Amino acid sequence: MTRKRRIYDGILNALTYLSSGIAVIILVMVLQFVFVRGWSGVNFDLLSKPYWSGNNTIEFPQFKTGAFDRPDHLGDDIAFSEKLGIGLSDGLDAYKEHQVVVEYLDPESPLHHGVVSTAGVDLGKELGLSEGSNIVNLMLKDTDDKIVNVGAQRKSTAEETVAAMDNISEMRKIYFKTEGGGINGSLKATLYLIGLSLVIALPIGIAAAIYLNEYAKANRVTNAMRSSIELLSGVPSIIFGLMGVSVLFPITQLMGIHTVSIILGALTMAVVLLPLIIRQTEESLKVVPIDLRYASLSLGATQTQTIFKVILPSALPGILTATLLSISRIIGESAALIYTMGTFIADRPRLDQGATTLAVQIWSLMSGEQPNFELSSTISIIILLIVLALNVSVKLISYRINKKWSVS
Amino acid sequence: MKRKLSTLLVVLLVTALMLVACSTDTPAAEAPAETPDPVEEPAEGLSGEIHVYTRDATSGTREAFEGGIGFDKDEETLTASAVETSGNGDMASKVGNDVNGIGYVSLTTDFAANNLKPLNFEGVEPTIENVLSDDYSLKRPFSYVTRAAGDFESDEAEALTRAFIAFITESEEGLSAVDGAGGIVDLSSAKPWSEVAETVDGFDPATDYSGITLRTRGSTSVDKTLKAALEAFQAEVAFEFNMDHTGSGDGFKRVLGEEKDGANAGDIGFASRKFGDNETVSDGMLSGEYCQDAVVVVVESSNPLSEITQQQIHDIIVGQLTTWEEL
Amino acid sequence: MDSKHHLISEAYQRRKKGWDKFFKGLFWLAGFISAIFIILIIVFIVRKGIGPFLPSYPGGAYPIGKFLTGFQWRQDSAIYGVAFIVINTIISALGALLISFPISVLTALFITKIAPRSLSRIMTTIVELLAAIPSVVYGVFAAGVIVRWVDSLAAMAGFSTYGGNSLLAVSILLAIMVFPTMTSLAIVAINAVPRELVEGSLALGATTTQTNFRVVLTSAKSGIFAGLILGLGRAFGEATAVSMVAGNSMIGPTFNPFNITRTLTSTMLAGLKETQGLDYDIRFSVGIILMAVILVTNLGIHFVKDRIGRSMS
Repeated sequence: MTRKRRIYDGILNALTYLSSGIAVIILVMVLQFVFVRGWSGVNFDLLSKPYWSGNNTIEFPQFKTGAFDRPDHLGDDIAFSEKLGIGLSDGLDAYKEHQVVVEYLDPESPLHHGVVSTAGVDLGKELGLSEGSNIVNLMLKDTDDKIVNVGAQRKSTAEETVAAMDNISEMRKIYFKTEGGGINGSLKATLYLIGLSLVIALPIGIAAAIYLNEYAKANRVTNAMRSSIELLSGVPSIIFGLMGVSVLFPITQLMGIHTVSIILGALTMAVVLLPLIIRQTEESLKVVPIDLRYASLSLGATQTQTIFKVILPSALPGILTATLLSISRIIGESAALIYTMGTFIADRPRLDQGATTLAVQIWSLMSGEQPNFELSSTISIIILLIVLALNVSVKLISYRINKKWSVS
Repeated sequence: MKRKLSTLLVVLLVTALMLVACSTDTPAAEAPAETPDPVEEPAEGLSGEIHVYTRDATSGTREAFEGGIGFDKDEETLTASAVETSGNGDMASKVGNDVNGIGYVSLTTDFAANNLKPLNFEGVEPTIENVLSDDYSLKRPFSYVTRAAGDFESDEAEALTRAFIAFITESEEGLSAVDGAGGIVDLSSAKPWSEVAETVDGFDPATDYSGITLRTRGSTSVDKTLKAALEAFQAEVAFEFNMDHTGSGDGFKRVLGEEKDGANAGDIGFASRKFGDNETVSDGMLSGEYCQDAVVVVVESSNPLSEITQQQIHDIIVGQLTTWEEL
Repeated sequence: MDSKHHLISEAYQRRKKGWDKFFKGLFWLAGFISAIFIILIIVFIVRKGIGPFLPSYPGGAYPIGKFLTGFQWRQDSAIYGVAFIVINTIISALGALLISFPISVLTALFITKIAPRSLSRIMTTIVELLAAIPSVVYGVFAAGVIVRWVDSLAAMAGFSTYGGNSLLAVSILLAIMVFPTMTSLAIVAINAVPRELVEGSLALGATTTQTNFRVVLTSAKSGIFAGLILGLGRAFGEATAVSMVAGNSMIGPTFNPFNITRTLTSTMLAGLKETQGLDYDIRFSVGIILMAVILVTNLGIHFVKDRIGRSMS
């Protein structure tokens, strides 16, 4: 080997290292990007919190002011009302809107004992102010018997709000917002969508794979069938979105649903998933040894029995893989769902109404009034973790399949 | 030996590349996209091409803006190099990220958060006072129209719609919510909601409305004031809402027009302008205006410009004025 | 007793056969449904997409010639020309491949032939991870990071950008998104190169590196090429992430990498909440164009696949 050759080879090899390095860097940067912005937001509360704040108005039938001492642990930026025993601070919500946030509430504070005055089922129930809430509007009578309104809506600072509280003679009502910005609704909608899509797509997909692998003769019709299914897997998801609103929407209309809905999203996703499920199932059917079929048939089993009792159980790990891959496809999908499920973030998703999945919530947050990078990144982290877990499971399963058939 | 060497090599290479990547990435991570980049181009004597941003064709802000600057829709066309944005927020964030950008947004927009600088129009500062006193001329109403009486999903939905309209136009609570979100309203004749509620036909506070969803459609500019009002209404009456706003053009269409039974149908449609002659709002159960708003010409915050005249902005929009030097 | 047994058996046989037939029919139906969807999609989208050009269209037909050859897309003046959008789409996808293709082939070579086993495993996982990241996450990344790169790059080159939203940003984003697709196909192709070929080359005195680059890559080229076409298809069809950084220009085509662009998919997503009227229906027409572009690439894949099949046998 000449020196020149060696240098030349070295350069070429270094190029491959460099290329792989670039791939690593990209992954690191994407992860860094979402983690830097989103990690602080990741906690279990997020999963159970609604996206929209709860809006409550409470009144105080038996209102008595007290005399409270400012606890030592409160920071300087927190204003404290000695009459009501409440600590307030100025804050900004995810959309950079001013808030008056309840930071501290004395256990004896009269503000614990409110009664809901919002008309509806909760009317008259006990509800107190809680830490973390945002005081939007507080209506009181001051010592001059004048009605005073303070709170975030009136652009009052925490300081001003407390000043008004300490000058109170009679409490009228408080309109406060509970903490929002959660992903509970999207999480539920994602689960509904996964469940419903799989219920529709799995039986059809598996049956189609069985037909193609066990029954279909090698002829032109079968070929056409196969290429049609393969073509389907090359269709971009935005086209599936168009298909959803043109082909499938009339079907949901027959069910009496006149808007975009989770059902429509699930029907659309089912079509998206078909080629994937069929291919994965067929792969796993192919590795089931032909001897197994002969053995079953020669023992007198019918073909139907052979399929359900011998072949399908053997292909189960492959079907499981298909299911997991389908789930990760649903979680990652956005374009098709924007068309079929809308972009309104619903906290209590219903099958016959629009909702967002986690991925579409990101889209919704990014294209809204104020792009919300923080929450988007937090959701991205959650999606990445789920997808990672699914991928690891797929790897474990395929490892087990390989082991199983190479041993037997 | 050889393998060890190559492993060492790759470790070195990857760490080196990572360091490079991190050092280039850190400034980006420290300065989130929505806040100003401290090392933006020098502000003095901005030069170069003007990037015109506009709204989509269904936008009421666009209509109000074009009307206000004397742009004749039938005679003139917008410069073809303009960027079309999909909503008020999209416009705000895009202009805020472009030193050479110029666009227009609602006065309710949070200028600081979007890195925007509002410009005085014809020498008048865009403030609530100036809009109320009619000094600032680039303004428009936020209008609403509901579905036709009897065309709601249920009687409860119809009553709730009536109640909400009363809430947003008459009650202290509703008007101050709109006011707090930047809408321009007259609070002097407002009455407490408890009084207003009694005057609403068919509305009974004792009824459970929590299963009813109020669907609002239309202008994206009303988003902020409307959301505040809906949330404030939620504090009075338990119910659900669904805001799916796409542009003023859809406000009428989706409650009374051709899309009123489509996938995106709504109960109340909004427009950030007066409804047009071909939009027959008299068919609706209720219609009117709930607040005033100004359209504000904005540039990126480091732009030295602070004033603009009607003629200048008009020339920019039609593409006769294309560079900052000419301004 | 004998005949009785015979009778039961016959009924039983018939029932069994009936079930067999029933299930065969059921399975066939499932296969048929799966296969029919591509036709349904094409028929419905073409029917809806053709609508605006037919004389019966409410509000008057839009001239199809102007649609296909127009270089402006302006909803405000009701001008819908798709020609420049097609060119933009192709340019941005080709730009993405230009960046991504060499990197993915070299990475594939690294994983299969050059890297030590442990490193190769790690790299495979990294490629799979990149493939698993949902497109909307890439979109957030592009809107937060890639646009800043482009903006500072443009400042260095003396250009001003629309806040970094540009053709280049789209191409870089797509390059990242198609990288895993192309890499994994290249890995498959390289692994399929017969051992004898490699051994023969080595026996003739070529170095390992020479063999890798001259023999392995050359023999795997059809497979690598198939990956290229698949990557191209993905680049054409990507929607959500692209529309976050495309900028949606009204005229074109865009050749300056720092200028804003408009792709077929970003056009389809812009103002997507319309549900009726020309603005809505014309998106289906754009969809047809997109499908045509994709179909051509898909046919390419089949063509290449056939060739690989022939060259292997």
